[in-house]
This record gives sequence, C-alpha cells and structure tokens, in this order.
Amino acid sequence: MSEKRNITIALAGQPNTGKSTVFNQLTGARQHVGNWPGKTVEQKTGSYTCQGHVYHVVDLPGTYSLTANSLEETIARDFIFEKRPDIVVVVVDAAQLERTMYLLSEVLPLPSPVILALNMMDVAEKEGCHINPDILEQQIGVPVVPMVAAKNKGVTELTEAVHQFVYGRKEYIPSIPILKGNHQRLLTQIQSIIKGNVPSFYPEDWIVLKLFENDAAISTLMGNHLPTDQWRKLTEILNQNQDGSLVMASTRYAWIQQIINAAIERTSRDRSEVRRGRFDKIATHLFWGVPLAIVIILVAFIVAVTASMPIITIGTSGLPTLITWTRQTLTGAPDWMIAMIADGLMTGVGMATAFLGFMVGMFLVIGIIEDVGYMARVAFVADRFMSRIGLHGKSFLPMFSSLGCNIAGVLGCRVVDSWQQRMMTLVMGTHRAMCGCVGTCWLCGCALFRQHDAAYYNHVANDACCLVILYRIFVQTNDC
Amino acid sequence: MLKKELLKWSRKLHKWVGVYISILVAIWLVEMMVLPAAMNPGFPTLNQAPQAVISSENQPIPLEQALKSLMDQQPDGLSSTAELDEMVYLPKKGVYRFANRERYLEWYVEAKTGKMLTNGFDLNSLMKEKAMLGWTHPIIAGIVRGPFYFLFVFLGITGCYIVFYPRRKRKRRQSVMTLSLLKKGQVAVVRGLFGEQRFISRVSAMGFTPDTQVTTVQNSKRGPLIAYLRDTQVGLSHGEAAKIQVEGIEQ
Repeated sequence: MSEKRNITIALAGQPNTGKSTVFNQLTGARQHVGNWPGKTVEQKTGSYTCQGHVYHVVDLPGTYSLTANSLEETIARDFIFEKRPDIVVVVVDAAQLERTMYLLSEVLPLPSPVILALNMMDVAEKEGCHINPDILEQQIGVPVVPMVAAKNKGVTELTEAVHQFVYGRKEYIPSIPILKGNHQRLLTQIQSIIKGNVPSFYPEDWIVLKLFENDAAISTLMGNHLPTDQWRKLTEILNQNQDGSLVMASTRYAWIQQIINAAIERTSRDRSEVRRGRFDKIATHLFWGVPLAIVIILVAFIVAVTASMPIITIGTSGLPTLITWTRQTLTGAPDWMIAMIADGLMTGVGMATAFLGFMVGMFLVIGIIEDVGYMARVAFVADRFMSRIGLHGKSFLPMFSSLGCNIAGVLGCRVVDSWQQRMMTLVMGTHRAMCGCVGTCWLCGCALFRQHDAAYYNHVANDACCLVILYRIFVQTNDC
Repeated sequence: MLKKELLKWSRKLHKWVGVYISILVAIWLVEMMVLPAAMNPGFPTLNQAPQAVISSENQPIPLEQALKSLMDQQPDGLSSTAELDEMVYLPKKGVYRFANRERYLEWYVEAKTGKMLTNGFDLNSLMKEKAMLGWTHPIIAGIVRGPFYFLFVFLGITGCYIVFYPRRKRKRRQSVMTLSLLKKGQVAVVRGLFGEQRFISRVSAMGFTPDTQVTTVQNSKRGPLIAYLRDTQVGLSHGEAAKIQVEGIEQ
C-alpha cells in the first residue's frame, strides 16, 4: 500500500535544455511564479497529480554548474540541501549531451536521488546522434527518460518513472565522478582535519570535495565552523593546491566522456566543425551584426506597440469620457472625494492599463527573441561596445529598452548576471537622455541646482552624460 | 618591422624636440624679463602703440612740428633729435612714433596736439632681433632658432604617426599561445587556465579543461570571439580568451 504524502520534485538543468517546457508540460496551468524568499531570482512552483498522488514541482534556476559563483547556483544548491526534495529531475539536452551532463555530474553527489530527463531527442536524431537510454541508465545508475518536451512526448513516461521511483522501492546506486590517485590522498588529509566539525545538513565527503575545489561559500562556512588552528592547517594545505576546481572539472568531464562513449553512436560527422546557418553568420558578423541587431530590435518595438495598441487605447481613450461621467455622477460629493476618484484613481488606473498593454507587448516580443535564440547574438555583437563602459553584452537590451519605457528597461535588467552590473545598467538606463522617464533626471537636476538654473543644468548634465557614454563606447579603447 | 622602427624613432624625436623647445621657451622667458633691464634700465616696456584720445577726423600736425613739440616736452632718454632714426605716422592710432632702433626705445606723440603720450621700451623689436642668445652674436641666434622651423614640420608628421599607429595595430606580443591569438578555423588543445578562482571555475565548467580540443569559429580581434568545443559554441571576450592557454595542433 502506498502512503499519500507530499512529494516534492526539484527540476534542475542548464539553460536552454527545455527545462521550462518540461515544467509547463508537467504542471499546466497549475503553476505559481514568484521569487525565491528574500532574493531577486524568479521561482516557479506548481503541482500535478499522477495516479491519485499530488506532486509538487519546484523549478530550480537554470545554471551551468553548482559552484558558489552566482546567486542562482547558491539557491539551487541550498534548496537541495535544506529542503531535501524527494527527487531531483535533471533535464539534459540530448543534442549537446557532453556539456549539459556537467550539471548532472554535480547533482549526483547531492543527497537527493536523481532522475535523468533526456530532452530534445528529435534534434539529436536529426544530427545523427543515436543515444541508447538503456545503456545510459546502466552506466549512470539512475532512471533515464527520453523526451521531446516541446511536442509533449515522454512527459507521461517521466511522471510514471517518478511515481515508480518514489513508491516502488527500486535500488538506487548512482555512479559518481571520483578523483584519482594522488588527489585522493589530499582529500583524506582534508577529511581528517575537518572531521566532526561539519554542519549537520551537509554530507562530510561533499564538504571535503568543495574545500578541495576552493568553493567560496563552503570555505567561509568552514572558516566559521572550524577552530582556528585547524582552519590554519587547512588553509595551508589548500594554498599549496590551488588548481582543485580545474582538476575536479576535468574529472567530471572524463567521467561524462566515458559514459557517453558507451551510450552514443554517431553517424559520420566531423566533431570539430560546426555547421552555422547563414543567419547565424550575419548575426555575429563583425560589421553587419550591429545594424541587423538594431533593425530587429526596432521592428520588435514596433510590433510590441502595435500588438498592445488595443489595450493601450482602452486605457487612454475611454478615460476622458469616464472622468467627466464620474464628475457628473459625483456632483454632490465633497471636492476632495471627486478629485481623488476622478483625477487620482481613474487616471492612475487608466495609465497603468496603458502601460500594462505596453508591457505585454514588450515581454511577448522579447520572449520570442529569447526563445528563438537571437538574444545571445545580440549580446554577442553588443559586448564590444558594452565592455567599454564596463558592462557586458547582456546589458544591451535592458538599456536599449529604457529608450522607450524605463520600466521595461528596469524589469529587463533581471537578465544581467551580477548585482553590480545590474545596478549599473539600471542607473545608466534611467539617467540617460531620450529615456522614457526623463522626469527622474529632471528631479535630480532640480534637487541639486537652483530652480531657474535647473533646466539649463539638466540639459547640460544629460548631454554631458550622453557624451561621456558615447565617447567611452565609440572612441576610447580599453586595454584588456 | 619598418613601421615599428618609425614608431620608435618618432617617439625619440618627439622627446628630444620637446626638450629643445622647452629650453627655447625658457630662454625666451628669461630674456624677456632680463634684456630690457640690462640694456636700458628704468624704462617701461611697451608692446603696442597707444591710442590717441581725439578722433582722427582732423588733420594731423606735420612731422617737424610734432618733432619739435616732442623735444619741448623733454622726454626721458632722448637728448637730441639726432638720436632718432625712425619717425613714422600711424594713421589708425593717430600718433607719431619716434624710435631709437639701437636702444629699442620709442616715443609716441599724439598726432593732433603734439602731446607726448607714452614712451618706453620696444619689446617686440628687441625680442625679434636679439632673443635666443642673439645678444651675444647674431649668428648664435640663427643657430639656436634655425632648426626649430624645420623640426616643427617633422613634429607634426611624427605626432600624427604616434597618435594613429596604435589605433591601426593593437598587437600585443605574448610569449604564451592563448585562445585569443588563434585564427578563424584553427584547432587547438587547451593546456591551462590563468586568472582568478571565479573565472577558472566558470570557464572549466563550460568545458575548457586541459586536453580538450577547441576550434575557433570566429575571431576578429575586435569584440568577442566564438569557440567551439564539446558540441557547443561559446562566446568569450578577448580578455577571457587571453586567459586560456592553448597549444595549436597541425591538421
């Protein structure tokens, strides 16, 4: 008899492996989008039922690895350790198996059992890669489910596999990448030092491995937990072996290759050549890449505004008549009430609806560009100019969006990697001229300068900022 | 190679011409202050002819009358008209200018009334003739000043070279072969990674581990480059690619 309990499934995978598609196929409309508690990273949770049992699915942030380098990775890692989901489903891209399995190799040593979802099997078949899931399963030791999530194939198999695993009491012995030879001696050394001083919810051998890899978060954690002389001993040993992360990455990739060589049959294709489409070549072209990007983004803006026209017109056109009607109906009421409702409430809601329309259009179009994969090319061609003002190519679109509407720009800053870069993009986009929210610039100008000089100074300050930014982007070159 | 040599010599030329010009300027400044005092102590220096107060509609008095009225006013440093070797009427300023070229003194007399306006040391002529060590001997001034005009032209040419050369070629000589130096289509094997811990762990997680084969898909020396490894195209900036040590392999 199977007990009904709350089963939590964590969905992990690298970006662009189809993880969101799998999530959407599993949960359908029963999902909730929010933020990880106290963080600015998006969190999607949902649930589905299978054979009468309810499964809660948590979509972990898409990351390339589980180091402590970024917030998303820390969130993913900590979730698995603290919440101990019953199963972690790792989604990999069958057409790019070698790279996408890196995350799997990092998730396997963690305390939760893993099921491998082999997505995009159709793309792999088209490229001539025949993957045998049974051999894969045998080699890794975890259940493997081939899927084509975009076409809704394999989703039922996945839910069945999950169900069988949770309630079926199958044996689970995963294969884990193991360090060789002389590195093992170092690991035992580290283990002997930290023995007994490890916080309870981390397994000891995992901590040893992370210390070997010079993981920043774990080092700080152990620095606080260990008594000082032991910490000093540990840092001495670690300082003599600085290349731990590189060694570990090589070990993981060696493990991956060993597994893949057994499970994949490739039809003849030169592995060192990459076939690039014509569009790809133009999109990343040294000379034509930028004009193409500008044209496409402008077209995207136009499409966004056109598509959202209906909602915007609802928000703005009906407004005057509605306001006059409200005033007429409320003639008896006190002045402040009429003002609050007619001028404040109605105008506010009307403008908000108009902006909502614009947001819908913008996010629709940006989402299409992102899914198609063109966003990466834009970031690629823009990186040359963005790096001269200290940003990365990814900041290009949020800054460019600030041209039209600063709100879209600020919301779009979510895609930028590090916190400092995000703030820089945000502030630069807001305080640039020709920005939708010029009002902010004017506010600052008026706050700092005398009133009738403020207009002049605003212009000057704005122009100066623009000139500095333009100069840095187009004229000055950094030596890097 | 030739261009490199030109660049090196341009830099040297700029340095030494700069030194030369600085010395000239220093000498000029010192002479401007010292020479007038040394030659004719007590006289103010004039750089320009003073302007007459009355407008120049009326006819000026004739030269002899102006001369006579000048002597009547007993100007400093002038004992007789024989000392004057230049007498000229300046219509625009409405003054007569009487000068003793040897001692570089000049006197200005108003053209209408004959009143003496100012007098003093004519600095411009002095500097033109005697500066740059010309007070020792005229030839020395020629020697000191002569190369200047010739060098000035060179300075312009080499200055342009120095400014524009780095923009054309930004090749940094490196002793280590890195990913950023590979040409399009070249295949190489990763040998090592430089840089800080964060960078190494990110890049090695993407697949850049030792003994991995990498193909350069696009490298234009400007902007990021695209490398192909482990079935993935990876975009890297030049700074990041320069931290990946590779060894090219023959195909």
